[in-house]
Amino acid sequence: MNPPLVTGDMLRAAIPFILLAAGGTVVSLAGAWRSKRGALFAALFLVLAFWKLFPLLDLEKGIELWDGAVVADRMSAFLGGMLLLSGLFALIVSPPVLRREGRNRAEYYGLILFSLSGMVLFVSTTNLLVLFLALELMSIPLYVLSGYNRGDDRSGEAALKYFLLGSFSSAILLYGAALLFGATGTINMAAMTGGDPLLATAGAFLVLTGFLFKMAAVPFHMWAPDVYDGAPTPITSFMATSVKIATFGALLRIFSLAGGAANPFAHILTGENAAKILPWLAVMTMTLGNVCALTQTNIKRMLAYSSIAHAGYLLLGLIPGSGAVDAKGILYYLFAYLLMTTGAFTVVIALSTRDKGREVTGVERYAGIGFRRPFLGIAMAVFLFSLAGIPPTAGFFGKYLLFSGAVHRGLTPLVVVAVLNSALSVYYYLRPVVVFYMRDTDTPVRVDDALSLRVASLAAVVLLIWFGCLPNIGSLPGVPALLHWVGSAAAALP
Amino acid sequence: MNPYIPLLAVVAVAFILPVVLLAMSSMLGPKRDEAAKGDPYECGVPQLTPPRDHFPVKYYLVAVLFLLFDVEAVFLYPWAVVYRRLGILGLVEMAVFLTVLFLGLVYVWKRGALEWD
Repeated sequence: MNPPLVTGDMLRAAIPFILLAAGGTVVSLAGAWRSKRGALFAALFLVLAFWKLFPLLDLEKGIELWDGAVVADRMSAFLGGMLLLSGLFALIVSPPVLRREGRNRAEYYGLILFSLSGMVLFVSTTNLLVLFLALELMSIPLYVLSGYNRGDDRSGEAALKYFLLGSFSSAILLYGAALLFGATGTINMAAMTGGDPLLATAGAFLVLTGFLFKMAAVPFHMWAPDVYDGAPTPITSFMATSVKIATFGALLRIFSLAGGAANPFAHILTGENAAKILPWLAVMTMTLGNVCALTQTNIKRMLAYSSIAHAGYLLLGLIPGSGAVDAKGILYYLFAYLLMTTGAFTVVIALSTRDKGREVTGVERYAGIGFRRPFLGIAMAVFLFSLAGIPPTAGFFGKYLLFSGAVHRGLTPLVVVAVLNSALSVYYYLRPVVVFYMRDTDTPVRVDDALSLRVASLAAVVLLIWFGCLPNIGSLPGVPALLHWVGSAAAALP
Repeated sequence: MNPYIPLLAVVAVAFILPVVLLAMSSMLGPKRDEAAKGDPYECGVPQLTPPRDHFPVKYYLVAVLFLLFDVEAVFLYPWAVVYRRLGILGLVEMAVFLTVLFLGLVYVWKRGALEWD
C-alpha cells in the first residue's frame, strides 16, 4: 500500500508556513478597508505561528513537506523562531513611527508577514527552485517597504537601489541554479552529484554570490549603507537582522547538504577550494565594515557598516578549516546579533527627529541624552557594548563561541584579524556613548516616549544580559538552555 | 615571434589613440565657464518642474493588473489538460491558487485601483 499523501505530522509542521502566508494576505486585505489595527492582526498571526513552531524544536527527525522541497526540522524551527522574533520587534516598534507620519496602513504589516513567510521557507528548503522563490518572496516586500516613506527622496532612492541590485543578484542566483541543473540534472541540492565540473562549479559559485549579496558581504556590500540609511528605521532594523538570519541559516543547510565530496557545493564550500574563497571574504568583509564605520557621523549608516562587519565575523564560522562548520557558534551569534541590533535601532527610532520631511539621525544631536533620558541612555550603552563584544552581554559570549571555535579548527591567523577588528570597532561603538554622557547642549531634544518603544528596548536589554551571562534559574531558561537549543538545532542537520 | 603580438599592438593603439586625442583636446581647447553651462538641461528651455515630480501611472497600473490575471489563465490551461491525472489534490491546489488571486482582485477593487480617476 502507498503511504498516505498527507499525514497529521506533515500538516502540523506545515501550519507555521501557511499561517504566515495567510496572515500576509488577510492583513493586506484589511488594509483595503483602511483598518488601523494592522499591527495587532499581524502580531496575532505571528504569535500563532510562533506557538505552532515551538513543538517543532523537539522533533526527532525532519519532516519532509511538499514532496521533499521543504524540510521542517529543529534547525528550521530554531531559525524560524528567531525570524519571527525579529518580525515581532518590527511590529512593536513600527506603529509609533507610522502614526507620527500619518501612514499607519495595514499593508505595511502585511508585507512584513509576506517577507517573513519567504524567509522561513528560505531556511527550510533543500530545493534550488523553492530557494529562488523564497528569496524573491522575502526580498520583494522588502524593496517595497524600504521605499515606504514616499515623501522622502532618500527612501525612494533606497528602494530603487535595493530593487535594481537585488534583482541582479537574484538573477545571478537563478543563473547559477540553471547551470547546476544543467550539470547535474536535478534541483534537489542534496541529490546533486558529479556533472561537468566546470559547469557545476560555476553554478555553485553563482548561487553563493546571490547569498553574499543578501548578507551584504564585501564585495557585494555597496547597496547596504544607502538602503539602510534611506529605509524607514523599523524596516532597517528588520532587514538588518532577519535577512542576515535567513541567509546564514540557508547557507548552513546548504553546507550540511554538501557533505558528499561529489556535490558541486562541496567543491567550493567545504573542499580545498573553500580555503581559497571564504577566508578572504570574511577578512575583507569585517575589515571594510569596521574601517568605514569609523568615519560615520550618521548613526544609521554607522550601524549599517557595523552590520557588514558582523557578517564578516559570522563568515568566520562558515570556514570548515580542519573541522566542520561551526553551526552552533553561528546560531548563537545570530541570536545575540538579532537582539543588539534591533535594540540599537529601537533607541535610534525613539531619538530620531524629522527636519523638512527628512529623518535626522546624526550622532551629535544626542548630546546629553544619557542624563535627560536615563533609561534610553543605559539601554543604548548596553546594545553598543554588546555589539562591541564586551561582557557580560550576549554579544561577548557569541564572539567568544565563534572565535574559540575557529581556533579549534586551526584558523588562528583569521581569529587574530577578527580580534583586531573587534578592537577597532570599540572606537566607533563607544562614540555615541561618549556623546550621550560627556557632552551637553542647551537645545531641547525631542524624544518619542511611546510605550511600545520602551517595551521593545527593555525586552532587548533584558534578553541580551540574560542570555549573555545568567544560568538556568528554576524553570527559566538561561545560557545553558539556549546552548542546548542551539546544539540540538545544529545536530538536526545531516 | 608570438602570433598574438600584432593583436597586442592593435589593442595598444586602440587604447592610446583616444587617450591622446582626449588629452590634447582638453589641453589645447579653449575653456569658457558660464553659469548656464551648469544648469539642469530640459530640451533647451529653462527647467519648469522639479525632475523628481510625481506623474500619473494609470496605464502602468492597468497593464500590471492585466498581466497578473492573464498569467492566471496561462496556469489554468495546462492544469485543465492534466486535470484527471492530478486528482483531488490538483483540484485543491488550484482552488487555493484561485482563492489567493481572487482575494487580490478584491483588494485592488476595494482600494480603487480599477477606477480611472
